[in-house]
Amino acid sequence: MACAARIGQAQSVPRAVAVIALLAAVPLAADADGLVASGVLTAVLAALVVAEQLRGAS
Amino acid sequence: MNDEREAEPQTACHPRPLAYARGVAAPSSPIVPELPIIRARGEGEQRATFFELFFDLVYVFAVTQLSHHLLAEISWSGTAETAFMLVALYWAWNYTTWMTNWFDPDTAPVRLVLVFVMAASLLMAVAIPEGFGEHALLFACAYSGLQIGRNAFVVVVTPRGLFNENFRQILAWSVLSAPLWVAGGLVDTEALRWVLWLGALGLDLAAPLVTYWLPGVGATAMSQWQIEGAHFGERFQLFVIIVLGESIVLAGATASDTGLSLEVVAALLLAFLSSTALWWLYFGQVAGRVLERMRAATAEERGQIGRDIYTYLHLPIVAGIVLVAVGDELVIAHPTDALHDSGALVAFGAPALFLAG
Repeated sequence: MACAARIGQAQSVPRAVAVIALLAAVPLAADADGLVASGVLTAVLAALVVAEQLRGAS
Repeated sequence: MNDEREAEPQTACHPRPLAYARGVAAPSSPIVPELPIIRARGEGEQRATFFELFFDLVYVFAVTQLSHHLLAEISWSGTAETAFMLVALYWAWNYTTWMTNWFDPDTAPVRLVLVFVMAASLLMAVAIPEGFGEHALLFACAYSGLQIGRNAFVVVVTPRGLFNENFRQILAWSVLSAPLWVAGGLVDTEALRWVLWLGALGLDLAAPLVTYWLPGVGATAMSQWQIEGAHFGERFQLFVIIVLGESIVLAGATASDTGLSLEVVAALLLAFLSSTALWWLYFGQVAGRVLERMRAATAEERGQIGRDIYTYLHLPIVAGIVLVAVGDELVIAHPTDALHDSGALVAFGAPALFLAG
């Protein structure tokens, strides 16, 4: 996001949402099993990849 | 090299118009002196050499050491120490990348300088586990030694001119921070070491921001930081690959050591998919767009982009991936245990840091 800002590129909304979601999930993840937390994290990152691919293609 | 410098003291720098400045690789630079050890700039975009790839191998080990240091003590103290040493290592690598953007690693003198930097970086890496303990002096001396040695080499081998003056100022800043580094390595009190080393690293980090300003001399003009964008971008992309590679090595080694139960294999595959997603998010989006911007930039802008985006803003990207590797290791080693506060902060804060970069 900082790199995009520096080159004057529009911010990726999905990326910003992902950052907020990940930080907000920290307290919840503390009590979760590692495997469950890892699954959620991977799902968030995979969804972000898809969202940015679609954004790039449009 | 010195003979050439003496033979052509005034003509070694060739002022030329900035017609090449936008969009294409520079055929020749008005600032960078023409020497046999300088990269030829008239042959299209430069690529990283095999020796630079070999050079990076020391940093593969260094990044692994950093991950293990944090894993040994996941606490605020351990995180601060790891972050500090990561920045120092990254800074050593980053400055060398600026240097090899101008100097040809396929020439013997430059190669020997890189061997020296590699050896010093290796000493930094082996010192990491006790970097804030009994090996603090080794870490500090190796760092300061490589910074001063590399910059001094450039000052000695280049003829008088703007490029040489730039490096004199860069060298002066390296020399300025060195006593703080060494003093921090010598003291016994941890708090005092932190004060001295934060001052030293603060000086090193601030130097490019203030364009190596010195009293009575002034700052160096950004227009003089003429880098070859394709090579520069490729080198930082390779550093991201190094760190991603380390995350896969750590995940695989941990799974192998832990025992391949169903939960461990599932955690390993999730870690691998996360690393793949990070690769995609960086190389699919960030890397290409920055490089496009770099190619379209004027000579002056290229130096600014190099400093801002690669030198500074790649730090959170790199740090984020290192922390992701640590989070993966925690999960793979204990897949059915709760992450607890520190583990959750690492596992979820790390990718957030990466994305923020």
